[in-house]
Amino acid sequence: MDPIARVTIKTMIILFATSLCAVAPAPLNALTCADDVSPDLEEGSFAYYRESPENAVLWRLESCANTVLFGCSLVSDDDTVTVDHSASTCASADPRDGGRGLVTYRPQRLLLPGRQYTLDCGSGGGPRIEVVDGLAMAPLTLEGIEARIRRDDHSPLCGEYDDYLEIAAEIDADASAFFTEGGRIDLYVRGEYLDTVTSERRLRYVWPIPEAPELELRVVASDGKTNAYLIDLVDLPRDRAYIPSCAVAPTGEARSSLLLLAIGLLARRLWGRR
Amino acid sequence: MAISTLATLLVVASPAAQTDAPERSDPGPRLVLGNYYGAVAGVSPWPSFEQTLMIGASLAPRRAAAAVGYSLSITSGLADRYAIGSLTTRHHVTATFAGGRRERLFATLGGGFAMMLILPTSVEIEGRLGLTFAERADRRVVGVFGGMARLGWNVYHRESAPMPQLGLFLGLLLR
Repeated sequence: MDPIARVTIKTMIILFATSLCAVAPAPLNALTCADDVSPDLEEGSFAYYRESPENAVLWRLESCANTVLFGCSLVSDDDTVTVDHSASTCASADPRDGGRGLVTYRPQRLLLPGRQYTLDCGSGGGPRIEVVDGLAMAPLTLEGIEARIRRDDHSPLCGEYDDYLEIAAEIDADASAFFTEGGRIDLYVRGEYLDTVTSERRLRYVWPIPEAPELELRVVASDGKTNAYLIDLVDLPRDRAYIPSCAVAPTGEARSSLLLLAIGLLARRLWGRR
Repeated sequence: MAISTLATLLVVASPAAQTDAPERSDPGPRLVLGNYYGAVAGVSPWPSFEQTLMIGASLAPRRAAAAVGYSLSITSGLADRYAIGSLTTRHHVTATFAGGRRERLFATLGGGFAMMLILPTSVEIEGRLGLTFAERADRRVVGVFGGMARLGWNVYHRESAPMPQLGLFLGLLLR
């Protein structure tokens, strides 16, 4: 056998053995992409507000079946404020969706800054908010709203993700400050409440895609002031192919390094004789 | 793929392969084997590793400059973009050419379909272009290396455009 062929064959053996490192971890670890889009709203709590302004209208997602019927008030160490609560979105709550609706709690006067208030609806302690100096930001202005249907993996291994709606807009103000103080964007379809979004990132993943000609976005500031936008859902541009954008890091480090050690020893054996 | 490497090694180790290709009085078709390993990148953040075995028969009696055969590729990784594509097998009919001036040129062209796990998903065409290397040009077993390009259309997932992949490979050719 000529020497070149011999060297080539040895290289092939090493390369083939090394290929086991690539084969083993890569397929098993390809499945983490979808964690990016888990919802960021917890039912029942005010947890996503960090600091509310003095004129905040509080809101939270609740199961409509358990919506409070009695009067509520916000109680702090030295102040008690009665709130009017309204659950108009529960009229269209879908029981299959857990019957979730958006409930608002409007204080009858301004809250005092520098205090922590607890929402008391007659059954003792409830969620808490912290009030800071200042009034609410104006609702965000969305410009150049673009909607597009994006493809997802459709993989039975990844939980069969469907295509989703991506909404992107230019926002002229500090969006994260807006959401942190209690601002939100409500989605309405045919006048019925669909969902609430509290980040720009979540606006880029609306799923399932509403089956309606239009989607209404209501940008609601912390004090309840609203900007409304309509998005046409007919004939949206679609992705031609699925292009993954999330990065997946193969793991299985420990097994690979042992294998590489074995390959290194094998290489020394094959080449060491000269 | 272990079987393919073993098969190549057995043929290479046999007495017939160790010398120059002999003159043959009966110019029938000869077995041509290709075994390539490489990396492939597609429209995806991560590449794939690919192993290919080509089994074919020569079209010309002596030099086996051209051959046609079946090639099986096993690709593992994320170049095919879908999670189920992390293990893709490709079944192609491939034409191979090794010749040219000083017998250094190596080229293949093939087409067929790809399966992601057990689902047939894409139709593809694929070509390789590269060089052979061996101690002497008339050896039966030569090394090959070069670049590969592939265009695949994933009809199972109803994509409306074919997607390209590019790669590099290194391998052996028995001709």
